Amino acid sequence: MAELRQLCRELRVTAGSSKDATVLAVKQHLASQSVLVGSPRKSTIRKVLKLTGNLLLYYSAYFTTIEGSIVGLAAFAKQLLKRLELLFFANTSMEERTMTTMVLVEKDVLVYPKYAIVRSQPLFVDREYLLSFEAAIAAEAEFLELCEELAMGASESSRTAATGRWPRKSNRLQSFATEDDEIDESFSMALQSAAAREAAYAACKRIIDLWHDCMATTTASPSPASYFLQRFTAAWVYTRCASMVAPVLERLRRHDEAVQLFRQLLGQLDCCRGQRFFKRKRKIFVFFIY
Amino acid sequence: MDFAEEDEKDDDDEETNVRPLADEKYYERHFSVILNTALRLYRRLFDATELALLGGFERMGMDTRRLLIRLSQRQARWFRVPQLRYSEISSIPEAVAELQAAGWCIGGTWHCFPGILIQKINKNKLSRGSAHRN
Repeated sequence: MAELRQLCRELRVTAGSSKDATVLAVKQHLASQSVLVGSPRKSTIRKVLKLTGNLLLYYSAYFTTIEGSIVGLAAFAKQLLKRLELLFFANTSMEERTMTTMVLVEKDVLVYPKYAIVRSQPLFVDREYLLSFEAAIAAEAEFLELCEELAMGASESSRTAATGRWPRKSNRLQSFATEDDEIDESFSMALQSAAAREAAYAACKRIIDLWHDCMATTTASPSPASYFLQRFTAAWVYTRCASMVAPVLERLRRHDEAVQLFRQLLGQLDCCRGQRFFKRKRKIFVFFIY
Repeated sequence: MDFAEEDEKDDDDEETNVRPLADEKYYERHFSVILNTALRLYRRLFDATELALLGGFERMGMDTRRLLIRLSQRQARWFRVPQLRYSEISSIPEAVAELQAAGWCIGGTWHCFPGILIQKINKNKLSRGSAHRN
């Protein structure tokens, strides 16, 4: 009943006089929602699942919610629309510029200097390059999502302390790449469990393997002439990922592997040269401390 | 601060700097710019199926085009058709049907998508739920 009351507060539903009345009120509230599943943080279903842990209520709420016909964009179409945005906005990371940017510009919230853009070279030499870049972006997203999930789990378990609030995504992404490299406390907490450590290490290994494979094939194929356009290669994205993996390896106390990875990262001059100072500093730090 | 309060704060932030847009169908205009530019500069990067789908966009009805763009801007994966409401779209069910016929959308009833349910149940929660029931 305490969980149900908490759920009511969270969903802003007035609790009924009895348990049955309250469950009914929650169900009615859920049935009026248009979004079934979506944003991980805002989704009503996620809230229910997170708060109650009661599968029966979850099932009944879910089935009540999804009565009637439903519709969603086909995965293929979604990918195609994402590709259009990538090509138009020249995105190098995840959703940093989308159609929302255009609205913000139109509303004078965002202002860009006025200059003529001359695209002397295409972003992608051919379709193969585009597909490998997209695959790299997907691998990066998957890795970050895993880190996020681990940290969310740790944050939830320490929620009673009310201080374990996981920072915004932008801050989290930054935390992997900042000079001080202070990986969030929640993430460190998450790595205390053996299963989480195993999952994190497997993800790190996967990224490193992908990076090695990519670097091995890229040296054999022509790369874009401009350093700027290197950003739109899979090699760049994997290098960026590998840079994020190194601090995670440190957290996993795999210092030898971290140092080796830093060496490899510093050994290449094609991608992410801007992070060389950071990598060098971390390498020295890890090498001498451990 | 709990999640609800945080969401509320986000909403408040979004309401600042509000200046009405001259054209309420701005998103349609923006999407056309994106589509035409991408097709002009990068046509060779798309395969035949993608080109057919993108080429068919202009041939779809106005409502259908608007609904497609609206849905593409939403974070959620699935929507209840009766609950979709956009003032500028006169007939949403018809637009949905056209989108499905063109291959942009898939739909049906929840019976068709058992995977939706399964993918949303976190493994840990599931085991915790089973333990709770046992």
